[in-house]
Amino acid sequence: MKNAIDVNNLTKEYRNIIALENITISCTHSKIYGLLGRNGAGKTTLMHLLAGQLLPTEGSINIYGENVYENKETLNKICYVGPFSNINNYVKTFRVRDFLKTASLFYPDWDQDFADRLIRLFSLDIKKHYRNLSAGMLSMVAIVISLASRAPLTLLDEPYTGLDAAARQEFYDILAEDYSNHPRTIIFSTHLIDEASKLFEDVILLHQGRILLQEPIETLEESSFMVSGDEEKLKSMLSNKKVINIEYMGRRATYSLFDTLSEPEKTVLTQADLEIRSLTLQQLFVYLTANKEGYDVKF
Amino acid sequence: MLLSNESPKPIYQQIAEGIEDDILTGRLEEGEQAYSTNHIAKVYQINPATAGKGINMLVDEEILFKRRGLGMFVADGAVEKIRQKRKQSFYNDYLIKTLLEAKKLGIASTEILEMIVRYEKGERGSL
Repeated sequence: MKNAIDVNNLTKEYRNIIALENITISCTHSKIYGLLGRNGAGKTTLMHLLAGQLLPTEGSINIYGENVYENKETLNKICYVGPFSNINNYVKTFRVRDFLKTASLFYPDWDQDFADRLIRLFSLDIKKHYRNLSAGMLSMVAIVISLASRAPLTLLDEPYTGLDAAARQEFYDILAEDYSNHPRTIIFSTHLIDEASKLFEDVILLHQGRILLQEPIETLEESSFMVSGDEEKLKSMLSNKKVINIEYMGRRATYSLFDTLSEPEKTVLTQADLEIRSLTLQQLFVYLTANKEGYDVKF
Repeated sequence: MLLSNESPKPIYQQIAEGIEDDILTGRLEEGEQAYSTNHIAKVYQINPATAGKGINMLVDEEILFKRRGLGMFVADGAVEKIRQKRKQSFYNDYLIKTLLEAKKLGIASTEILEMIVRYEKGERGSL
């Protein structure tokens, strides 16, 4: 199977602003990728480019080995529901059912039964007009379309603006179940990292228009720790480790590491009365993107 | 099994240990069918590949085995294998922490031994 995504040396400039700079990524088929980055990191620009809605300034984008721009066959394999704020006046007269009807005509793998099930689950009224939909309801419509399209490449850009915690849980449930039954490539951008991270297989971290890292989630889990205890001990015992954050409380310090700890190393630290916890992906993300350049993450 | 983002162990390892716990306590018996990747993924809202990694770890250790077309099953001798393996990590995961806590509280080793004896007597008494 060809890679779902091959992006090579991609740069996107808007007038004087460089939104993405020399990005190279590849995504295999049938994986869920978490696309993370702070506001303005370039996530949405990347999604637009992948969906063929923008032309790159430089570099190439291939989706399942094909060029995407103005290529209908490839575009049918991609589902990207962009922000509703961009829609035109004609589409603004739509009811929920018109959005779904349009999507069903566009996507060859559209599953109407599944769409109906999701509509019932979210208690969406298909007769409602666009102008009467709340932010949460618009997110639900986008989610129904994204999942029921069963597109080989599905781009979920912050899919749940305005959704309450219960509705988000429903969404995670459905996504885990439907992805198990119908594997496909999903690129999922979110700021609710710890909520969503269990669904990711790989993580792509964008920072200031560049790729800071692309790693399997296990690699990140196995190389991000917090160690807490006497500052003197931490200083000497972790001198050869990559420390990305330090917090002090009296003589106690907590070091955050972006580095591996072997089992024997953990035993030595525990024996020295130092506590070890894992950093959550969200904490790791915050420390790595705290400054302008982003942390140097080369292993 | 409960999964935690803050455990120093990756999610797939927590899943493997959760299944091991169920085997050790008899919630899953040798020869019985184990949980499927998709089922674990759904219940814990995790990526099926992560669940699969945990299961494959147990397959590699011959604690689970795959029956073609039927799914995963608990291997014969799984309980003994898990016991052997867990004994090695017992010292790291439990004993060191207990002894460090005892030291902070000024509990002498002889006192700990007395506690163990009392505990064992209490266990028998309650049975």
